[in-house]
Amino acid sequence: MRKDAAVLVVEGLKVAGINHLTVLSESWLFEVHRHLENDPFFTIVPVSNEGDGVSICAGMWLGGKRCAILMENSGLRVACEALARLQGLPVLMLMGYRGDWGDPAWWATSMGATTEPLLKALHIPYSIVRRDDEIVSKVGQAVKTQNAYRSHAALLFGGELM
Amino acid sequence: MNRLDCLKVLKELMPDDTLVVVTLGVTTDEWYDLGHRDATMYLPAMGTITPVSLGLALALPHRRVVALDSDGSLLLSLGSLTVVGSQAPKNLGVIVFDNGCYESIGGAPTATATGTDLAMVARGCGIKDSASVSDDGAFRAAAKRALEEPGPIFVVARIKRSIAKVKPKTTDIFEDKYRFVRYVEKTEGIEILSPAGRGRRDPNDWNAATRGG
Repeated sequence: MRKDAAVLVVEGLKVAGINHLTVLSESWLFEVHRHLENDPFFTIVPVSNEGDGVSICAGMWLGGKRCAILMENSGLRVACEALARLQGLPVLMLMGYRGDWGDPAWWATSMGATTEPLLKALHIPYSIVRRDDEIVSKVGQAVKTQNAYRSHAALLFGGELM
Repeated sequence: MNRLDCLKVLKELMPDDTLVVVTLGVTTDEWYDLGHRDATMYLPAMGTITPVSLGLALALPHRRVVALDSDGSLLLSLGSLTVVGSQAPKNLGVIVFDNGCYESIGGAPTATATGTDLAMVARGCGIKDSASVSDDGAFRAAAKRALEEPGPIFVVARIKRSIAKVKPKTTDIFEDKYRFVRYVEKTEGIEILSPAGRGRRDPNDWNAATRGG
């Protein structure tokens, strides 16, 4: 992600009051991760598996914290079982949309093909962020959606921001 | 040593405000049958008990959190122990009931029946206070430590295959969630479930905006 866009993601998280994040670092969201690690506003929990990451988020939510997981969309596939089982324990997912229209990586095409169908199959509301000027508002809307649905929600950061 | 006797010891030693996350299957029914506690969250989700407990412990560092996990469940998310080790929350106790099998679905062996030592795995993940116990006295001492001493504390309770004759739990994850969350809200003085909307229109808006006003 471009540095200016990453700064806006961090600002969006602050405005939305999300100060706890589990992270499995990845290429497109690396700049966001770097900013989060350097900002004392955030408590970061690095994880080795996205399924564990969403479970830790669910536990934090049970304890009253606003939290999210930062991961690649390939991690959605890893986390599907935990997300499906932990119904009603809302987890907010922030994902780079690898395999998006125009992504030159051949290895990412399976991520592009499966991400939205999986979110739909899991009944997880989501939005794709494509412009800098919508980053902050869409992070805030994601929290409102998560609260309204009382369930998981997802934001996909598209190739235009990279 | 069997699981129901261990659960009875935990029930006896556990303060009312200890937050407990319970694994699925027969363990859920046995814990439920021993008596209702608002401070219990039941998770019908293999592999999530220890990481959810970790998240809860990190969210509420002043509250004791105890995971009641099982070998089959923990083996599905063994990597979560690396995060317990790296975060090292002082308020977390993890108790794993290890009977070496997937007991609730017929008893096929788990990897702990063929050599995997969960206490050694936990130590290898950086959880220094990690031990296995296999008799009632040792379990009581280990349980007391998991409930009181600075954590993270990891206890493997090596139990026999044994399913107690208890009534199955009748609540689902949603009822369990709302009960647990309302309990946390009440005891912590916080709001977890947001209201549908903040602020309402003035009931005189209609009259003020029409000829009726």
